[in-house]
Amino acid sequence: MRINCPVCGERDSREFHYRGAAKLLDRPDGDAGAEAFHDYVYVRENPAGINRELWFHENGCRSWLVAERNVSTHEFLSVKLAADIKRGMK
Amino acid sequence: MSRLPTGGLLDRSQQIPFSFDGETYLGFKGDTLASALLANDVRLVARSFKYHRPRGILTAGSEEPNALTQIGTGDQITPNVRATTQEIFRGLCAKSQNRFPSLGFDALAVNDLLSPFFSAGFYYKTFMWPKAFWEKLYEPIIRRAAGLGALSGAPDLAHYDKAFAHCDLLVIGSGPAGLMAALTAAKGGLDVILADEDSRLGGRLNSETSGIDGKAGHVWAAETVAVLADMPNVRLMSRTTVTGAYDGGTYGALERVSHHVADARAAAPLETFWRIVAKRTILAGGAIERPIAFPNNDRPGIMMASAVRTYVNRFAALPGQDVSIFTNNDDGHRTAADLAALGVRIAGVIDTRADVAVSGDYPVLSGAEVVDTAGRKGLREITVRTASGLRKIKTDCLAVSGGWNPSVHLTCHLNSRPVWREDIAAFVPAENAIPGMLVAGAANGDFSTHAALKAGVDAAKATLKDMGRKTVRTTLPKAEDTPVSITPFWHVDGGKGRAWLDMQNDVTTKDVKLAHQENFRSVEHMKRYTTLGMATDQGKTSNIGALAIMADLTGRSIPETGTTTFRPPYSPVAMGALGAHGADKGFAPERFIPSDLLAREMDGVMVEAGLWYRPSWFQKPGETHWRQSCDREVQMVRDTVGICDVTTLGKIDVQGKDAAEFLDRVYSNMFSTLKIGRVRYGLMLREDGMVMDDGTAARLGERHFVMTTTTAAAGQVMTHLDFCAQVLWPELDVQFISVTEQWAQFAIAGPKSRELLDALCDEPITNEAFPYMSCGDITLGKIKARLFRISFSGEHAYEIAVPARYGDALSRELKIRAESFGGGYYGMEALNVLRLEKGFVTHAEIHGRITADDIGMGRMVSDKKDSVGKVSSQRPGMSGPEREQLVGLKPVGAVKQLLGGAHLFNPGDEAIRTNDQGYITSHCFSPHLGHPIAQAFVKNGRARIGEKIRMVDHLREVETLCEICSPVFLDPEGEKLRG
Amino acid sequence: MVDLIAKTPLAGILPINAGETVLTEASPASITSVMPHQGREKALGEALKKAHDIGLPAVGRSSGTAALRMIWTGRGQYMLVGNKPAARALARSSTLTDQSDGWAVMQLTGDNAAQVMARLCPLDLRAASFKNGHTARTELAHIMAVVSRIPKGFEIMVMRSFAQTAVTSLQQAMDSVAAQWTRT
Repeated sequence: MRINCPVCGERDSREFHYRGAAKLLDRPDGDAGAEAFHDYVYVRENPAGINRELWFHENGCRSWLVAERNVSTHEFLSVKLAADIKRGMK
Repeated sequence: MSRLPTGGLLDRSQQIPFSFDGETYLGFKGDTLASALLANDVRLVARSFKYHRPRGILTAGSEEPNALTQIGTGDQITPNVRATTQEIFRGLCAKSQNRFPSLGFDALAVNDLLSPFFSAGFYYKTFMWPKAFWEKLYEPIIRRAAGLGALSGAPDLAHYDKAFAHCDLLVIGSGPAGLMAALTAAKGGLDVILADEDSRLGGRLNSETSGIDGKAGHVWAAETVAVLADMPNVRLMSRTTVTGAYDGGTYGALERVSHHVADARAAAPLETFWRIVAKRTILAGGAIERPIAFPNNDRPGIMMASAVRTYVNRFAALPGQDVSIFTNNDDGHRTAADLAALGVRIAGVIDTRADVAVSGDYPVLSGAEVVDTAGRKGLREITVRTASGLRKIKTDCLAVSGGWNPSVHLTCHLNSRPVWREDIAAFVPAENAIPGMLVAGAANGDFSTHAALKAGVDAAKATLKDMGRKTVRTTLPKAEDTPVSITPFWHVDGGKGRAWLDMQNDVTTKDVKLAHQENFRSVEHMKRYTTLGMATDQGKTSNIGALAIMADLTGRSIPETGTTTFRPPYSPVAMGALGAHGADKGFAPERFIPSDLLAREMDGVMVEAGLWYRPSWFQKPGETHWRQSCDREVQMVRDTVGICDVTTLGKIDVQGKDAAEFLDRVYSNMFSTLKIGRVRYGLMLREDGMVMDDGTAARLGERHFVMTTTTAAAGQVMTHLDFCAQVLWPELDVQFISVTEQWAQFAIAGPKSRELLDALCDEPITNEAFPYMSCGDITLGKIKARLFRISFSGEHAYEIAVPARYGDALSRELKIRAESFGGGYYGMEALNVLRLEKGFVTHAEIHGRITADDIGMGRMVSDKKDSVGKVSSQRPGMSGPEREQLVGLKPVGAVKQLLGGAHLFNPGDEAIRTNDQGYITSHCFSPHLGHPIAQAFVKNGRARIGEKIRMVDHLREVETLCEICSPVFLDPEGEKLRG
Repeated sequence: MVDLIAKTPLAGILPINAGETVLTEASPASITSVMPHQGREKALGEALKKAHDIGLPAVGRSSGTAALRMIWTGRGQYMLVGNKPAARALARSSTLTDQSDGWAVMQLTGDNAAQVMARLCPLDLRAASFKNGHTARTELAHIMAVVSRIPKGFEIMVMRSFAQTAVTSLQQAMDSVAAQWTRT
């Protein structure tokens, strides 16, 4: 599988580490309470289709990336820098 | 001898001796084992898998199901090598398989007589009773009788390689379509790789007599290959099978580098497994001829019609003297024509079609079928049924053609199913089956030479256009354009003998019918129930025939019945190739500490810690047991001074305007309050509230920290920091980088540590300059170094860091100085004893399911600020008396043994899971106390100090009565640390 | 007064060769990591130009001369490699750390260098894709590495503790290629 890192270009997936859902970008405030953190840590949607995923280009530029990927066809629809997306939130 | 005096693509200048089943034969360079055997009149080459029926060579390619041989001797034995793909070389040693005692007389052929009991799925219905017999009797017998080929049992000392390649266009197959595709694309400026599984490029052009541009096909092919070889943007890879299509234009390919070379130089690999990344691909892998199933259709001498042409035209080897042909299409007649032209006697062409357009100077029977054959070890005669009845024909070679199957396999690797084309009675690839791949030539149902040449050019032009390149002007070479003329005919009805479909797994039409009868009617069920298509050839010559029969039985059409899934690899790949360089030390990179050379000189026994090698203990002369060394080293540290290389602990340099804020958020405790020149112990939690790592962070400046992590967790922590800085808080102005490798770091621990350092460093080392938990810059000679006063041993201790280039030198300097005090180096075992005596924890305790409160550090989760994991760590159930809490254990009975992982029970309770009170995480012998000690997690442990508890090790059958105590066994006030 | 002797990571291990391919150790006098402060890339570029007469390289590139180069080595990270450490002036717009001892620097040269790299590195290192001045953060035989094209071959940087294992893998690849490409 190849992943198009926005910094390095297309690379073999062996250079990357998969973390999980991009939901992790949306960390609750410290005072949001246990329920909010429970949802953040454990609760996930699991669609057989397009997922928003967090990948880390560990053996490359070490950028954290948010990828939109169709887990049924393996097709990547987009790969962006997580920091840019996070800055765009709120 | 059946070698034709002239012709063939062989180098006849040298005779090449090789052996088969102990007999020596001669062949020529260019021969495969199969062609050389046929040329030497050897037709019986194997015994079938289940029934041990005598078998001969069926095909001339990698789809061969029968002629599996064992090649090589000693530890170089390779089983299941197809004789049709193995090139001969001087001294090649080949043996037939699956027979005892010999190919000619195989005792297990008795299975053939018992065949009614061995029909499909028999093992689901037999060997059931008595139950005990399975393990002791049935399974060992079956294991010995079953299987194709045998391994040598010796370690494989052959050397394999793995490599990567990149290109604009990967062309798979070098027949007319592939050659034109590669040529056109290369002329258009693309970077092209042309791969073919054969040793000689050209595909069917090397086997057929129809020409191109007035030349013989193989001549045109050779000339085209020469042009390609000269182009700098073309890479030719022969003997390279593209084994699989994967996501993102990635392909696996196996190159057989040395299988054809007698004395391969040791350094050249036997095989190279390639990962090829191609922007675009053109599959021109050709087609595989399919047989017709008829009674006793598996005798030696019954071959594929196109294979007979290959042996005659390419290898100048005649498979028979009285050749007959059985066909349902015009293509089969070409074999009769080619052989007749060479003066070979044609016993007859048996065509299933009532109206046959083709004729020649030999008998042609139309509307006819072969209903039986005779000649167990070699075909003698066939029985043919026509409108006018049965007749027998004397023949020693029957060439069968049931049509052609385009090689769609690669196009199915990403879950696409092929599409049925009625006009050629064959499956072709679905459109866009693999993103970026076009299919051309016979692989796409373009069967004539002209159609293949044109398809190759068209595919290349489409690719150039798709990639935004200028188009190329080409002249299409002239070649035959015979239309396909076929009437589907899959199997002969009636007749007494069994009709074979899958020759390798010994599956017959009867088995398919049985599957249907037992309601295994989908192709997927039929495949698994009968095992058809599950052998090493993946059913290349049997799949379509079987599903056609199933279609008939279920009253559905062939497209409705569908195919099973083709999966990589296209042909078998040795595990050695897939695991190239992965054995022994190649399994993972090795990392060495700065004092590695010295450690080994000192007879340090090295142990793996992550990827690093660290000394576990140092064996002094006279010491025979590790405990002697370990106990001595522990005493040495407590009495005088010990040195330990601690370079491996991750060191991360953290700087920037928001460095302190960043640490406050990733550590559970406060770091922004840490004064410059001070060091603090910290805990890092995961977001679920469990402890991830512990370590220390030193403040070197207002905006400058150096944090440490556990050796094995260094990478994980770094990844976590990157996650926090980019994904959670990109607004923070913080920069960090690993400096683990920049600094060689040594612990100097014990009552004499300050004295040692004072003499070593330029400036005096005092309690005022370096109080407990402090840090600062110092110099050694002209060298800038760093000094930390921290302790993992509980003794007065420091860690000194120098730039790694001086690591070896400093390690030796420290050895001399420590020994002058009666001290020296200590290893990991001693390190573990020292910390256990002092109640410090490692990742044996921080194992991923414990909280800060569990290890007695609940107060280190600061309430003053948010940090990763803080909220989750305060959920109900994350602290309190129901939790297993860290305590110490000491043995108080006659048995003193404490064992890691052993579970704990209240005295009097049965030692079962429901009474479990906890478990031991670490243990050691304490020289200071004179008995073993341990750390353990015990339910409500902190409230139970003084209680007795029973250790039960169910695995090693040891029981020890213990007392729960504080995990700090020595110097609980920490006086030694702070002096 | 103590007098410690310095050792390079591959002293006594390199150089090695196989066929026409040679692997040597390069020992730059200094390596400094340079990580720009938040939003201060432009200021860093100016400071770099002023202090060292080198432009800040783009992603995947290096700038400067063989004597002193600035190599892009990852997200928000550069290494100044050569005959001097980064000037203190750069500290106003970036975080600097000494990395001179943390890396093993090797040079792989010869006609078959690309074939050797093909056995170890998943990157597209074809001449058209990976030119002079190009650099990449990738892996070499599963070891994290900085790979740059140099005249006649490639420069490879791996962390110091991985040096020996990297050389073992390189030697294997060099031997394999030499055996397959020996002129007969």
